[in-house]
Amino acid sequence: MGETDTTTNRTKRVAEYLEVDLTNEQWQCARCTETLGPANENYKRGCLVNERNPREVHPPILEDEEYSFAPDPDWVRIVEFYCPGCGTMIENEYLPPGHPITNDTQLDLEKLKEEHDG
Amino acid sequence: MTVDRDQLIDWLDLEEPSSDELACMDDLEHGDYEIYSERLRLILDEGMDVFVRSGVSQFIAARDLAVAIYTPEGDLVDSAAGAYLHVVTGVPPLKYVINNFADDETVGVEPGDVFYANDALYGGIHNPDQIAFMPVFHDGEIMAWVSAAAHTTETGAIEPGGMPISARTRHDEGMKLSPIKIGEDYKLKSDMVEMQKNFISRAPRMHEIDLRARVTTCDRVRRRIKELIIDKKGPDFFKGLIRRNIKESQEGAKRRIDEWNDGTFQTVHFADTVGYEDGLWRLKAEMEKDGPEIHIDYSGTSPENDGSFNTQPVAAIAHTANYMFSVPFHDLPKSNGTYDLIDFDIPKGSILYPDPEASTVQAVMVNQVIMDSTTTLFSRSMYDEDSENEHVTAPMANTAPGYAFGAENQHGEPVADLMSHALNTDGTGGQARRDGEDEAIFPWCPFGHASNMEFVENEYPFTHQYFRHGTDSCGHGKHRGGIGMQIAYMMHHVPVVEWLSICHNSKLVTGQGLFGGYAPRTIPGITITDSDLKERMANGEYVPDDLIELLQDRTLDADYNITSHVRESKPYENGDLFVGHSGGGCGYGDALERDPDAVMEDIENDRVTHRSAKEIYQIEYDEETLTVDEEATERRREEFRQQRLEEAQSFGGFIDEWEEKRPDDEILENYGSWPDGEKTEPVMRQ
Repeated sequence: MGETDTTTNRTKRVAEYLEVDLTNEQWQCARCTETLGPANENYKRGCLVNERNPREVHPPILEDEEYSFAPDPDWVRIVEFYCPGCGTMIENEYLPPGHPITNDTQLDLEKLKEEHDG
Repeated sequence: MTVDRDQLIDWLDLEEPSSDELACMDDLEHGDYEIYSERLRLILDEGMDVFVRSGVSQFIAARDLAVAIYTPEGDLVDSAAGAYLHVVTGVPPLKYVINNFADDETVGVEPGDVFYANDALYGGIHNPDQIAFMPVFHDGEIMAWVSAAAHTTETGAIEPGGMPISARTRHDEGMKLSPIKIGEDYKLKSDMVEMQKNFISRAPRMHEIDLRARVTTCDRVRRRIKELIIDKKGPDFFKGLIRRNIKESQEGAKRRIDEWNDGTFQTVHFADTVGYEDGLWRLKAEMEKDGPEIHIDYSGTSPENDGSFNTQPVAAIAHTANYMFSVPFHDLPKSNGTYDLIDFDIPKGSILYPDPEASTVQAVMVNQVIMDSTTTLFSRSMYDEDSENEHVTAPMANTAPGYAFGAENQHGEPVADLMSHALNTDGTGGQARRDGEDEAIFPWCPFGHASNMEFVENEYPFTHQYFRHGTDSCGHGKHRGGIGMQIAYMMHHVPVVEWLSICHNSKLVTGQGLFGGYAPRTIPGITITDSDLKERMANGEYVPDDLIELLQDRTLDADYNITSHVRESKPYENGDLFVGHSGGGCGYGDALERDPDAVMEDIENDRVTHRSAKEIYQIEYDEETLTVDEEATERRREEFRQQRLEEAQSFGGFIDEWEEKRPDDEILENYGSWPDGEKTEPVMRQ
């Protein structure tokens, strides 16, 4: 991933763990300023990704039961997106296996700049 | 079918105000609006109290209702609620009356008329949700309309309880009234009351009481508005007042939306049933936010199905009100001025806009995903580090498990109802600055509350074996979601009670966490039959009061039936346990950032387990004293972050493997094409 020393003070934090470097139009981690790629693309492309069996997070209370307080891994997986710099979980998605990843936030960068510089 | 459902959607937009109304608004003097808008709200609040005291069903007792006032043209001015979606879904049937019947010489609108509606095709939600309207006249002119709406359980459907899981078409749903006049000259027509009681033969007394409660409420609000505002201040003042109320609502929302980040935001949510069988379907939503305007497009949502999990489009839109009117616009008047700022695209043929013959009786359960989605879309847009992020939140549980029963009670009276305890104890979502609230809320009715248990046990043929925290039911995170609860009803006094369970979230949950928070766990359906429970009670022996203990230790000598949370109606015998569970809220933020001391407090209060403290929150502590070793915890968390990075792969590498996967065809039968959710074949209804 990109070097952190390209960061400028012209940044806008737009989520718990995401900010936008408005000068370079780059996503970056709000915890460690690691660059996550172009801000006009999905920030998840700049993250490290791990697919997890939902039962690791939500353990079954009953063994050998079809329904057991735990999501069914045939129906859904947890896809976790980490900052490659600090390992913070920036986002996760509960998705059926193979379902496309969501581009959840695509900001109007020109508007952000106008407001920041306003 | 003659109803133009696109017209119903268009009716959610404001009618153009007349020059006379605008002039009346301009004539208000300083302080008039502030004083009399408050008086209007107090009148609506009084109507709500009258409603609660007059009705009998659980929903009314729980204040899951709405009392509203509308303009003469049918636009929503303000409401007391309760359930905000009721006031939005009041607009289309009212405008239907105004546009189709007001000038019809066989119907007309006269002082003292009462109209009634419960068919979702005409803009309602589903047929248990029923609404009464009355016009407010002054010197022969309609000055306003008032309404009272609430969910009444029994509808005469193919299963008791008003929301039949097994419904396959609208004809399985029971009584459905298009907007109809049921009263004249301030009196209910006996033939109209008789007709409704005939439809609702499982619980006719309850239906008549709730019907009369709605009308009583309308008339109280009508009289108060007439006596305390129109007669005192004059009709022009009143016209100006209600127009100003709409303006404040619209402009307040507009200013607030304008402050949020512009852009395009997307969500996907998945559900696991179509009613009569398990089946995966998805809601896809894309929100474009540009200045003060919002456009939400649900293209890509799965096609309609031949079960009961479909919704009419107006009901889908109205469900955004549950979030909007209780979170970002909670302090503004509740008018459809807000909806003037938001446009919706709802694809025809989808689960949100099915064929008119479809069953939509589980509309509220379908629209749970609209509530999840709206919360997430808005929160992503409104995050602002320069503010307190007061309204940035992960979705509530939004499960609202509906446990409905029908029986002859211990007094020999036929009764049917949908219990309010599980409904009113969902956890709220973790927020930007704090945890979600535990066992807090009916997400459809933020100000509701569970009804009194002793009252319930006095009226209904069962007792509450336990009602307590659902430990670990929250979505974990930096700020965890609120937890849900667990409850068990024991059949008592009578030989048999018929129950059904209206809920999903058994294979997966519809919610998604926010900013790295986890969604909550799933919920199975559990019943315990043929047990020695009553024998133990009679002998004074130990009686368990915790679901997990019951399940893991098999404390009772019984048959343990563990199924999907969706359970079609079935008889339960004296002493059997019908077990329920409300949902936890979704988590906010990375669980590794949660304050370890807060986790210890959660353990002490039975909110989370030691397993979660160690495996999810990665805390080093003394299990006996619950004392945190801060340095060891920091080391453990750092190691866990490193472990994440080692186990993860690049996005490109991940996608290559991920795109090779897909769920089994059996799971995808109701999904539409994979992965786009397009309709692939026509729905054949029985």
